[in-house]
Amino acid sequence: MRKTLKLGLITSLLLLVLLVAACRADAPDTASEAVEEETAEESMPDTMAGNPLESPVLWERVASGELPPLEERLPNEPFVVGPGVLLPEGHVDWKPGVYGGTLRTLHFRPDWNPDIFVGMNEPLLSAPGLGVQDIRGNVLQSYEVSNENQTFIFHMREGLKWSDGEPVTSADVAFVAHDIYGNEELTPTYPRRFRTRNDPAGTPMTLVVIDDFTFQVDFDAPYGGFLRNLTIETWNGWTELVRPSHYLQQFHTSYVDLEALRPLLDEMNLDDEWNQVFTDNDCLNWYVNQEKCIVSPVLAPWQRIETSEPGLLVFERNPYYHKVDVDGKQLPYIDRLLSKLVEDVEMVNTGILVGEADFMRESTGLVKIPLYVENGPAGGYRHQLLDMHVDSSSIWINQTYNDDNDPNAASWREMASDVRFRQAISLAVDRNEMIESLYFGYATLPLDTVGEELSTQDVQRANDLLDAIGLDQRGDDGFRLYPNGEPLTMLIEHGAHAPDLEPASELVGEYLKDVGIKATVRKLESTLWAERRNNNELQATVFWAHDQGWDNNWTSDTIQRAGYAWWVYMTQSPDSVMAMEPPQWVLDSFELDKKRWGSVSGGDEYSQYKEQGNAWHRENLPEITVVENVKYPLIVSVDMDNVATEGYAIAQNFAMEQLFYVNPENH
Amino acid sequence: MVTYIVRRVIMLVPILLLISVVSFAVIELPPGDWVTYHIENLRSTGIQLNEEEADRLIAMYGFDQPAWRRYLRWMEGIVLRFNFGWSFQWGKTVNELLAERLPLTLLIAILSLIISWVLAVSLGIYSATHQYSILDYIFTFFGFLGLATPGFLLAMVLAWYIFKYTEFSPLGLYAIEYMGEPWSVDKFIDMLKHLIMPCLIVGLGSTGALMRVMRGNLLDELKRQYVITARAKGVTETRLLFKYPVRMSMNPVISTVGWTLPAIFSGEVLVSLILGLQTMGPLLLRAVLAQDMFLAGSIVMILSALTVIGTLVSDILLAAVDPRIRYEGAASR
Repeated sequence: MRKTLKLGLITSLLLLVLLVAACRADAPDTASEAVEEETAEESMPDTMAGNPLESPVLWERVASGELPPLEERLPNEPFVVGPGVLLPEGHVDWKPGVYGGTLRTLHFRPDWNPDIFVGMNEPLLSAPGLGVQDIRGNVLQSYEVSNENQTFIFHMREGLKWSDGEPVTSADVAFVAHDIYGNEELTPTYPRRFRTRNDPAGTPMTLVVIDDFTFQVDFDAPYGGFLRNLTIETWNGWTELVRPSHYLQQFHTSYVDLEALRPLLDEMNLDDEWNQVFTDNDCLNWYVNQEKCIVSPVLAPWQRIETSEPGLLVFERNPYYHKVDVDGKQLPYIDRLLSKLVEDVEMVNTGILVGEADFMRESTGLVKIPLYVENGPAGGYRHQLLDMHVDSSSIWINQTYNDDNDPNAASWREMASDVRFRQAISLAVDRNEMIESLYFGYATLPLDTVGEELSTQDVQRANDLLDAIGLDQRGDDGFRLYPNGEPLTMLIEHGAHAPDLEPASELVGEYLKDVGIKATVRKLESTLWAERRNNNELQATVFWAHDQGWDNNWTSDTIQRAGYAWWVYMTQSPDSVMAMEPPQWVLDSFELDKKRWGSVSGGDEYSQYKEQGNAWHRENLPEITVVENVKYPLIVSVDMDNVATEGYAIAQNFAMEQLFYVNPENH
Repeated sequence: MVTYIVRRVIMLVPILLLISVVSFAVIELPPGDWVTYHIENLRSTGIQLNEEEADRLIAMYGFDQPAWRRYLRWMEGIVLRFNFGWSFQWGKTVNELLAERLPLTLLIAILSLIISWVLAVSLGIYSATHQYSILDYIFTFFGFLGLATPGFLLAMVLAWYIFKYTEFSPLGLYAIEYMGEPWSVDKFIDMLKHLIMPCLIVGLGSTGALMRVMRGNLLDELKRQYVITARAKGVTETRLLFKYPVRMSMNPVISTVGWTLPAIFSGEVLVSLILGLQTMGPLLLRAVLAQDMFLAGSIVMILSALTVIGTLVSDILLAAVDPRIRYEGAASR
């Protein structure tokens, strides 16, 4: 008994000592900080502790000489943000903001928070609201187009600096063009966007440096979409043409000896593959969330910093960021971003409910709105309904389906490639019921891609169409048979990527039974789903696709959903074992896109090709869209301002640098 | 004894090699690789990578090379440089990742181990010496309840109720306000508050079973003749109890060391997942799901190795503690 008492005493003593030590280590700091704060506040009115055009968190670093003054950190002509600049006029009631605060958010995949990625990405050129109209400079200052959209001259921002203070010049562009794209070990195939008309078979660009801040790009045919390809098309960023050559040269064997890289090669368990070492240190814009972007200079509004806590991502403001507001205050307004790693998308939503997120886009769901409303007041957040840039569900009928174990695969292909079959499926679906039950009415019929006639349920007509294509025989169970007498079954396999995929698939399966098609619905683990799709083994599925109304959608993108083997034929290699030769209507979509890429983005000609693409979609039904114009709840702190009230949620996400807290001291 | 230990240690080498091959094969078995997972990940969040970017990644990370070459390279790193390879999803070495998570994992595992041993042994002794008393029934009831309740369920229910009634979110290691902040008294206290729940849940998880084992064994021992003899000779009850029967009935507790070692290292996977703790368990789960092969392979290998070593340690410990086992071994030889 006495022994246990002693033990208990010793442990509590130890704890006490620890506590005291912890206090000791900390106490002087907090005390002095408090004193400093007080003095700073007192003296502010007459002396001004720092430049009001930059965030107070930088004042000390500027005063100590660690950072040059703001004027030397900003480019000669900064990018000015005001009403209608980042988001179109009317989408947000823009106000000049105040500095300060931490934006907290959550992520569930290691080093990957899509909201932070989108918010930090800076493309070379940009347009309001991620559109294609009014493309202007962003990282680059301006451009001139001549020679019938074949010659592009770009002017860089003089005085623009990397986050480490080094200037951004045309040497950085030349480094990308010659040492990265021109190096086979780093770039086995020349990037498509820098080939004429975004065509994988097109001729690569020629890039000529004119002076320190000017360079010229030439193509051998008109490529009006090139400028748009330097905005956020496929989510690219500044790294497409500008990378920090002064930093990256130390990992490139054209500049250093292979042996100098030996310690790094050893660390990664490599022999001589220096290109992997290079890639591991090359902070492409995709990787702004990752460890490698802590050290590498960036051009983003924030930069990741080191923390000792596993799974935690912390980002601090980039003192050299090139955007200012209309009053000349350097952006971003919010000083810090912080993202906590949790287990999965459900735990992200739990985190939202208990008030651990000030901003959340990607992982929210319409179905959770009642919970957001119930817990929002206690958690200090609200939800803002905005447009979703993807069609949240669409039925894919794989017209090239091939599974060696399925003797009916050929019959399926013959049936599925008859457009009347796809029309019948579209007619069988009760979209109004799905819009009400799955999307709470926040979606419309797919008028762009399916058309009113085919998106209104008509079971009689669906049955007639199916009978007409030779599916009029029925088996003992009442379900339809293939023309050769074999039973027709349709396997709908869906992943778990979004909360609406499962109920949507189940409903589609039920509707199909009403027209005599025996549909089985199966849920697959997402990786397995992808694997089966990539092997052309998915017969049918329900998944999302980029919204046709969104300008980042291309007509030919639908082919991967219409027939995976056609997609392989067109985009990988016609010689691939899996590839199948596509019919004319498939080829038409690629031709249409090529013409659209050739035209000037957002122009009349461009819009005409886009409308032709939609007409092509309605005629051929490469995929059967269920709904269009779906809404999306964006979670924001109640104290946050400059939040969009209209437009795409992802566009608001992209304009993160103009968000601010009304009361930053509370965050 | 010494030759026995040496022999067992030498036997470890081929076993560990075999384990490494099996671990690697298990990780390689499912179709696809990290690059396909990564691309799907981007795609599913609405980002479409070009096909050529995919090809570039596959070639870049050496996934176009045969599996045996990748295995040899992995082993070469471990044996020559003690480098467990590269984690693709985290973009750093496996060694760094393990080092980051080991302290918390060990802390929770050891604390909960102490909780469970202290509780199980003391309650077990009480239950056995006061058989069929009211407290014995109560302990037995909770023992069975603890045995039957999965830790993760308890974690979920408790987390919800604690949040509902106290507005304190017991998820993670500390509240989100303290994350990324320098150490302070508040942060330390906050961490202690967050540590109580996982330690208790993981600890209580094994308490029920151990307590029942302890009680059963001690009851058997208490009926032995040597106990009666000692009591007849006037040895005080406490001294008698702790000197012989308790020591004898500790054997099963000691033999758990074999599987405790890997358990300490891996952390309670499900409980950590639910409470959002960054321990080894969730790291392994993520690695397997993302087909981050060197990370997953390394953890599986280390766990297997620890199981083998733990078994060896518990064999040696048992022999050292219990003279009967020692003598039995000598007699059969």
